[in-house]
Amino acid sequence: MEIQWSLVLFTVVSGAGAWMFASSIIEALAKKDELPNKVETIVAFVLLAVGGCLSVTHLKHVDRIFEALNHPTSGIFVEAAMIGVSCALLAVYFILLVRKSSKGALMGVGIAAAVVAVVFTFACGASYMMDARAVWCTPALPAAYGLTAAGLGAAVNLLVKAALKRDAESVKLAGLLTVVAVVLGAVVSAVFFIGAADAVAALAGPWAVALFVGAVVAVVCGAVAWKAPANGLVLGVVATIAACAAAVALRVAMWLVGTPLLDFFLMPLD
Amino acid sequence: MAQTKISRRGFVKLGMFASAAAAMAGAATSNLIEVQPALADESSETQKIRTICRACLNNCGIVAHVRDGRVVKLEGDPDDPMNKGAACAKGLAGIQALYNPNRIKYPMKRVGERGSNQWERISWEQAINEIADVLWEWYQKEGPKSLVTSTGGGGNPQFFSPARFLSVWGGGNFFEPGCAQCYLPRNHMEAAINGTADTSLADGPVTEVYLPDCQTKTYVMWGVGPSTHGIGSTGRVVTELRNNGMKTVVIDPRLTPDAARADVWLAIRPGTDVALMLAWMRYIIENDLWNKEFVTKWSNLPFLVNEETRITYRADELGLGSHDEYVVWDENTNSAKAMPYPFDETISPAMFGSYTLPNGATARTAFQIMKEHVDEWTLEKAAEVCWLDAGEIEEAIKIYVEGCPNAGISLGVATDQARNSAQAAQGDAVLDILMGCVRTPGAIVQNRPCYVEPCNYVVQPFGLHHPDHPLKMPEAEANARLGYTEHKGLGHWLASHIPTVLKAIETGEPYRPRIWIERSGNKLAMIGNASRFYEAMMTTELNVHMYMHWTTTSVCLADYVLPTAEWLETNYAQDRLNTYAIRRACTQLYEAVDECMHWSWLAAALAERGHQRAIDSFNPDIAGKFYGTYWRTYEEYMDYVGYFVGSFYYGTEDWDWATFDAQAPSEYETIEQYAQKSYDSHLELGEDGKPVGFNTTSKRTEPYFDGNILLGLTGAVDGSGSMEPATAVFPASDNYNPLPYYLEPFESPVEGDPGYDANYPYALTQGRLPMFHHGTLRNTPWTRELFPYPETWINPVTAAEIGVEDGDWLWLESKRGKTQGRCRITKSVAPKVIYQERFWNPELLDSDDPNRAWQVMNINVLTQNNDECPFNDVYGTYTLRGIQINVTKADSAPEGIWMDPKDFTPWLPEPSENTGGGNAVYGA
Amino acid sequence: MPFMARNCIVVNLDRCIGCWSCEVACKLENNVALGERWNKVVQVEPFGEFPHVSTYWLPTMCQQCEESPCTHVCPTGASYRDEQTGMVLVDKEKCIGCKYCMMACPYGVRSWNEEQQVVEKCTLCNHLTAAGELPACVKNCCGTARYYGDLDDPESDASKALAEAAPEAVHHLPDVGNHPLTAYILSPRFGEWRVDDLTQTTSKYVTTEGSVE
Repeated sequence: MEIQWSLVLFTVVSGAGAWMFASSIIEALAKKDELPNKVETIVAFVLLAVGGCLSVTHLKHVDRIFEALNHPTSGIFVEAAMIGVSCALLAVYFILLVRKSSKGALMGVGIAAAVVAVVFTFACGASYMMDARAVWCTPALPAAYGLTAAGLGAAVNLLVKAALKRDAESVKLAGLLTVVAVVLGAVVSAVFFIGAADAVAALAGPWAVALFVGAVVAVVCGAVAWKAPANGLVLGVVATIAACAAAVALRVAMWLVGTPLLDFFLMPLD
Repeated sequence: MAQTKISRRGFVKLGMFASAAAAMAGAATSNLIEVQPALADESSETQKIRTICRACLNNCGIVAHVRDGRVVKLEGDPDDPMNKGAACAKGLAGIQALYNPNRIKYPMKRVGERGSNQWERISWEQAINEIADVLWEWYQKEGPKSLVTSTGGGGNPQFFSPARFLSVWGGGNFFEPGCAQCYLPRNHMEAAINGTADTSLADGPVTEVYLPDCQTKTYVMWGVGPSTHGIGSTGRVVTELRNNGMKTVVIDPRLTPDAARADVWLAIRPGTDVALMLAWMRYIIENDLWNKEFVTKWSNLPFLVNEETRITYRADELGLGSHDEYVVWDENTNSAKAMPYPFDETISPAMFGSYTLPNGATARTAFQIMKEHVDEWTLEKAAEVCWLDAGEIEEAIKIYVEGCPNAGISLGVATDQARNSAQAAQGDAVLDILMGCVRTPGAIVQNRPCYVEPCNYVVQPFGLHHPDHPLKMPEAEANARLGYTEHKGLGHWLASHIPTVLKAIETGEPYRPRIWIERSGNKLAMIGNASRFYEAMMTTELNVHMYMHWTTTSVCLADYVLPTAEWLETNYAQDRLNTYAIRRACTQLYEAVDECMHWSWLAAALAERGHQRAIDSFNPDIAGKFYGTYWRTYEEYMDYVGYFVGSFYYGTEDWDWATFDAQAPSEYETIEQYAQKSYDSHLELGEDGKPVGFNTTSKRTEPYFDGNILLGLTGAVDGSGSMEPATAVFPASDNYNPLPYYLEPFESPVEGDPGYDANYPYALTQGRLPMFHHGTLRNTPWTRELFPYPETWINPVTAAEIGVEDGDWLWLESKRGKTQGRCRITKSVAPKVIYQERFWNPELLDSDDPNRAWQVMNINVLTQNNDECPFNDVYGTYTLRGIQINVTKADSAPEGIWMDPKDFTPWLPEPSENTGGGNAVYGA
Repeated sequence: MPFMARNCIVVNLDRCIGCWSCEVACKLENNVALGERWNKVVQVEPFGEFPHVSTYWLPTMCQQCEESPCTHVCPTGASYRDEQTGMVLVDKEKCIGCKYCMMACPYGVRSWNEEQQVVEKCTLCNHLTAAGELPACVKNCCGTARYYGDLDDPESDASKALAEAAPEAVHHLPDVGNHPLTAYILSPRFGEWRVDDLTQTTSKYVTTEGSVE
């Protein structure tokens, strides 16, 4: 079926923000770096918010969006709610940063924001688990949505850490996180593709290839940064582009193979 | 009004403003005589008007919802006894036909070259007078032969209007592309043989199936597709019976919905039907399955036949009795005996055998001749010729025979479109007679007045049923109709032979028609070998086209176009079994006029110029009440319709339209009376105390149809005609054959046949689609959306052989031309058989080359209508199905055609006022 | 949630003669735009060995699923189930045009109204049925193949049609947990039901195993 670019970019961009913030929290938990600072928080917030706005471009009647309050169990409502909660928590986190609140409070709010945002990235994929589209109806899809977003978020984190000239330890861990996340994303994407092998081969072959090429490039960048953090900035840029390509490729491939059980009206979605 | 030169393209683009202005244009002209009140003007209430459809021949009951003078909704009439609430895509699309922006809205006159598509609007008065001037000029110079008129089955025709006009005009030629290619062979031949009626389901005579407790046990649909023609009535009723257990056999090259559900489907090779019929006849005779009682007493098969003349002996020829008695061989006395009418029980007629007569001559019974005639047609031979399986043929025959005599065969249009048209009709009639399936409960052949004649054709040629009528076409002129001498069966419909008409226009032999007045949709899409037709018609002095919508006939060939009324704008009458229904004009748009008025006004204009017969046609004393005079206003016409229905059906002489309208639809007899009046009606006693018998020369059914010989010799089946014998027919003979015979299609797919050409390996057939009737509805968005381009159906085996895939664009090519279609790979047709239905592209009318509209995807560019391809002897049928073609892959679709549903947006309904039509601005 | 009724259309394929009247009747009644449709008839391309092939015409429309995925995914409740009639309907005033319902429909029988930019579908002509009339497609059907009514009401046309059918002749479109109410009757005498491998080739035709090879 037709590629829904609004939705592709929505989940990629907001997913990048979610996982970039989460990666930074992980670094803090691992005591390889400080808690996310104002710049990092702003970057995460902007990515989430811009991503959320991109989803709205998919809608034809944004003015009726508050009708959604009538149906709070729908996937779209849950996604929107989670983005909203994530952004709110990030805002709280930012205020705490400004007010120089206690580390414990920051850590608590930061973890909460990261968890909600990370769950959101899986939820995006889970919304597509429709019985009507058999190839989508697998846990591998939300896993791939979440973990390809994780790869991209980790790469963005690498880029940000390097740009902010953080310690080598921080950049090294960012490189390692990129490697791990991108590999996991690639593995679950592969599981998704294998489950839909015929459709992928017929309809989305080049995109599947693109995903793994992007993943390999991102993994190499992450690994190099992990071992040689000095070139973190360049590696971060390249890893971000490559991981972004992989995340986009997964979603594009998903739309292309998303043939319904039966499609009597042949009514295009765009 | 000011005569502005304006192209039609520009005219259409003026759109709604133009139409609104034009709705009032009557007031601007000086010839306004009256404005009819709109039916529901000024009301915001929705009126439900019971009327009858004319999107096809079936005339289903329809309820039209009318609000403020506009038709807003159509639905099937649940109280109609035949369609019972059903309405098909064609009928429901009637709104889009009615309000189509592509309608011919006003009389228009060509400016610039013929075919240049440049028009100016003129008044009705100007149009009628200018056309009448040309008519009168040529009438005075060259007489009535100067005129050719034509009509067609599609698009709300008054079928006999052109012939009625010719009877007044005093001569000339009338043709219709159906006729010899659709229905005439069956309509004439079957009734002539069984003395009852033909078996066409689509055209109306098959009434039995609609009866409340129909007894039909087996229905053989031979080239009949109820689900694709009169769907709301025919499709509905056959479905009902089939689901209630009636067995069906379908013989059709195409897997129609009815074929798909048949107990046996015989996917016959196009054009070979008669071969199969001969095998059925042989099987029934060989296996002694024929109905002894009926055939012995009520057919001419026991009669002895003169071996020289091939005509049955009359008793007086052999000194055995009177002229109205026939001769049998009596097995009781072993001697020739006159068989008195109806039957002498002391005589035991020999059915088969050869006997020596008192005069020393040897004579066989007609049945013996038939038996020998069909002897070669074993199941195996038929299977080979028809590309069928012998076992399945046998199974089909058995299913038919099991149901007899409560069974029957319907013959469809398919066999009318091949060179064996007359013979197939003979075969159909013979089979039902052999099995005694005539006038029995459940039989298809029934003796009920139905809408074939004269009821469906209230408007009739003068003298059609009254040979001495002063306005009947003079005999010498009638006999001079083109092609009539050779193909005398055409006389039954007062028609001429299209290829001979074209030849006369091309060569001036035997005389040159000068003026063509045409009233139907698009001849260039419906006539075989369209290119020849186009070339010929470009050379005439005057072409007039009467129709509702612009077609290639109007754009490419016409000098004047006259706007004609859609069925939702016309008033008429229609029998529906035992009820009489009414077509009520629900609105009248622009200056459109019921075609009855076109012809009437032309007659009036001729009368003004001194044409005596035209003057007489307005004289009630000469015209008589049965035919009515020509009409000066629509109200006069409507009152005639009301009078006729009252007189013919309700036994009253004082009806007018208002009385008819006040009670219609209503039953003119009970359904029980209607049902019973046919059964065994030949046994009813006449005034002489004897059974009335059948409507034939011998009063028996005549499966040995020696009347055919007399038809060929004299022009009448009883020998009473005055014509010269037919000479130039094929096979060479001055007689038409009393028995059906098989001729291989002239272009044959059979290797070794003289008609085989390896360059054209595939047999082409056509067949009805449920969203179109003939050339109609190609410009209504809802129907075009369903079928945007003609599909070329190809069996997967053949598709692989050609190397084409589903959706590929194709070239189809015959010896006469090439055209396009789009590949549908399907097991709906046999290998080597290609199916494609007629098509044309109204969207190309306003292109730089309007001729492409009839050329790019028109199967009739390929079909036969040329002297090299022999015609049917009796009717002159040219071949439309069963011609040979080649198929190749094309690079693309024809340029400029519309396929996407949104493409058809320009044809969506254009809101239009109820103007009262052209009736409101002109009266003769 | 228990509903008041289970209204739907039942189609007797033994009687569907592929005339497309229902499509035009629907367009006329509901003013459905060109290229859009609320119902549609496809022909299952003849399958089997020629000439002993099997085929049927399959009218498709909203199947009135009991577990309707479209209403579950709709973010605004525009796709909803009417509590009185049990009908799955669309409130176009609430539709934000996200098309999730179109993605969630297992049969692709929802339509996109391009002019209004909202999703539409078969309403069972509830403006007519509420007034005691039949849906336009049922009323005008040339084969008397369509039956409307409440499956919980044994006296409804739909229930009666199903009650008269042999159990082995009653079929549904593939159920992936959505439980379509619309039932199709196809007797072995007239054809073999195929549904699991239908492939839409063009607007009018679907193929199945043995259709084209």
